Amino acid sequence: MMEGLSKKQMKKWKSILLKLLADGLQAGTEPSKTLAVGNGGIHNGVCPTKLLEVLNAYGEIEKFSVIPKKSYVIITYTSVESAESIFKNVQGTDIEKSDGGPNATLYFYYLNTEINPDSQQKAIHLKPQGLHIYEDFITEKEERLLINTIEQDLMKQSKQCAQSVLKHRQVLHYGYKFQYGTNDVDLNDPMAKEDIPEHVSGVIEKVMETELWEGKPDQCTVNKYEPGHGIPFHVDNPDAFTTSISSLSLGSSIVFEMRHPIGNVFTLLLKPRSLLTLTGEARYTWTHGIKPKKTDIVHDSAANSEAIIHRGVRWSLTLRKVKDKTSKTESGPPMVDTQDAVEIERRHVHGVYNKIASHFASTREKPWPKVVEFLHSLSPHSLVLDIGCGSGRYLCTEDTNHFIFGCDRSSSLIDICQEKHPFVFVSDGLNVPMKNDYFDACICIAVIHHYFTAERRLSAIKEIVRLLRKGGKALIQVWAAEQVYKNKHSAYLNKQSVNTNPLVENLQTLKVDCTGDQEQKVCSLPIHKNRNHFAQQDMFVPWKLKNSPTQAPTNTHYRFYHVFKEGELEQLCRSIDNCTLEKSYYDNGNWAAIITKDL
Amino acid sequence: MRLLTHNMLTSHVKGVNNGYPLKIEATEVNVESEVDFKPEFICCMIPRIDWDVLKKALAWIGKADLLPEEIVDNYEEDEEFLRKVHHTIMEIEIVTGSLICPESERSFPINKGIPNMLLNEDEV
Repeated sequence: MMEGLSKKQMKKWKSILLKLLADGLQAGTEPSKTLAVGNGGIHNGVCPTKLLEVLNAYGEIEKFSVIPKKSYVIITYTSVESAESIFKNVQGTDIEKSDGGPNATLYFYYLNTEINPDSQQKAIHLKPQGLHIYEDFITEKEERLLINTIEQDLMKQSKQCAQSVLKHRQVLHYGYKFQYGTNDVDLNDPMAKEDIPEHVSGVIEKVMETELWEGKPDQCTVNKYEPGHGIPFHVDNPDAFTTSISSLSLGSSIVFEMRHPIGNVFTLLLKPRSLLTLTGEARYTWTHGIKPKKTDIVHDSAANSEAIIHRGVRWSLTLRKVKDKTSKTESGPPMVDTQDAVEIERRHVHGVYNKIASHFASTREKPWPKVVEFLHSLSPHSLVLDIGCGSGRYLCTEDTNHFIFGCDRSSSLIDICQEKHPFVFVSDGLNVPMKNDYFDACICIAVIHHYFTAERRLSAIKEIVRLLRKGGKALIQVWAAEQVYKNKHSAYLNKQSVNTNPLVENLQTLKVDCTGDQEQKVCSLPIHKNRNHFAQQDMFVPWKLKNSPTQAPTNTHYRFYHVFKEGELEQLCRSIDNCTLEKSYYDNGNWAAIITKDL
Repeated sequence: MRLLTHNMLTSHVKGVNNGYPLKIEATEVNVESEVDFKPEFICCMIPRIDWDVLKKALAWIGKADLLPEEIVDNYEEDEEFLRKVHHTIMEIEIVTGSLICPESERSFPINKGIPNMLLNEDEV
């Protein structure tokens, strides 16, 4: 399709494609009359008249749009053949810039301009799974009533207390009180539950009729947004609230944006009186937010141009159901008690490592450069503990003068370590048999993502802090849910999987018997497809065991992983009282954090 | 298990207030290992180890005479002393035996030179 483009040019073509998709354009290689011309915009220094001279040569132009602040232009020919002709012949060729700078290279993309009947929404294949929109969910009269009641309640509230909780928003809570500090609800606080007022329960009844809820919402947050206010991108707390979140928009239109970890962006114009419900992937995987702007730009596909809309005051009424923490949830890992978590980890972490130890060790010889950098940054003769040292990758780093002890849960792996470095022992990461306040530094690389519950993952970090002397520092590294970050793919992904995200529904699942106290519980999680993007955070990752590099695999073992989302590791670290998060970063498919123990 | 490791290890059985030091019962000890002598490192370690516990550990394996009772003054300049310390903490290896918690008497096995400090669920 695009012969004649060099490898470097193909890379550039792809990166512009991602930008077009992020802007909500349905760009691709499927022939169409309409094209985007990458690098052909005024913003890129290309004179439209000069560009038109080139474009005119290939056929009759129906429409030509220069998009403000964009480096591409959109052109519609009267025939597909003309578009195809320029796509093939001018792809990757240069054009002079009007500012006299180096030439711009033009890249072409077909645009699908069919309007979805839901209008302003993008193609079905780009839309997040689990996103539901109902326009005209309430009447204008109902909207006015709601706004008036909300304004009265806000007035009452502002008379009762000096200042609102959040700088930019005016907020009301009904039902359980939502606490922004922990993004959670305190079920133990007897004052926490207020009755849900009539105007809200009316909306709840209507929302129940959409049949997108399991159980009834019992928490409502009302926000008032002035033009220019936004919401930072986030996923609603999966531990505090259940599988559905609904939001009724009142007063003004606004552009609502969703972002997928692999880089897709989906935007939609949320009109007043529309109800937005998030379930499934839209609820748990995509983040959502609103940019803090006073105006929004919307694409009018029919007119093939842009319109600017000015935001007015907007109110949102968000409904959630507080999670009963003792029950099983549909999405995300099943709620299990400590005994179950220990059993799952025994079978699907330690048990597996004990079986695959030598094969595993042979694949883990190369140390991560940034870990080595951390070790080199320590003062001479620092005492270091490597928690979860595995086969001992970091126990013998060259040119360092620290002294390191290693411990791991797997005796088979420690056996392997012993040969290179005898200062090792077998121990659990949650209970290390060493005194408090001792080590100058700790490293914990690729360990914490094996703990089954958030509670245990937090305990592991607390244990590290306990072991550090005051002022000591630790490096923690975990596998990232995002195997693409800032347009760069990790080395873990193979070439074929780079642009595909496996759907959770299509993955095989593994059922694990967790024997709890009262009843036989079964936990079922998907089996991850190796070298692919992660479809969800909790899963089993297969290991095909080979007795020697040249032999075929004999057996497949499944290791439990909880991969971390951006900000998750930092949040865990920050929630610990006597430690400070010094630095966090993304390193080739992993999230890392450096913490110090407070003095 | 080297004696430097022993010097750091403590019993972490639930409810135990003082699990340090762990008593050594050794059935096999190896004194032939060789580790590079780094005087600067040994000087840094001396203030960080528990000397009495090191002496106790040597006594438990019948090697009490390998070290003097007290740390000598100006040990930084005493190479002979530093070499003795080096040998005891870095080179002596407990190959097989047990570590016993002083309070609960729970026994942690040492096999092939590796102490296994894993606890059962009810001990955590």
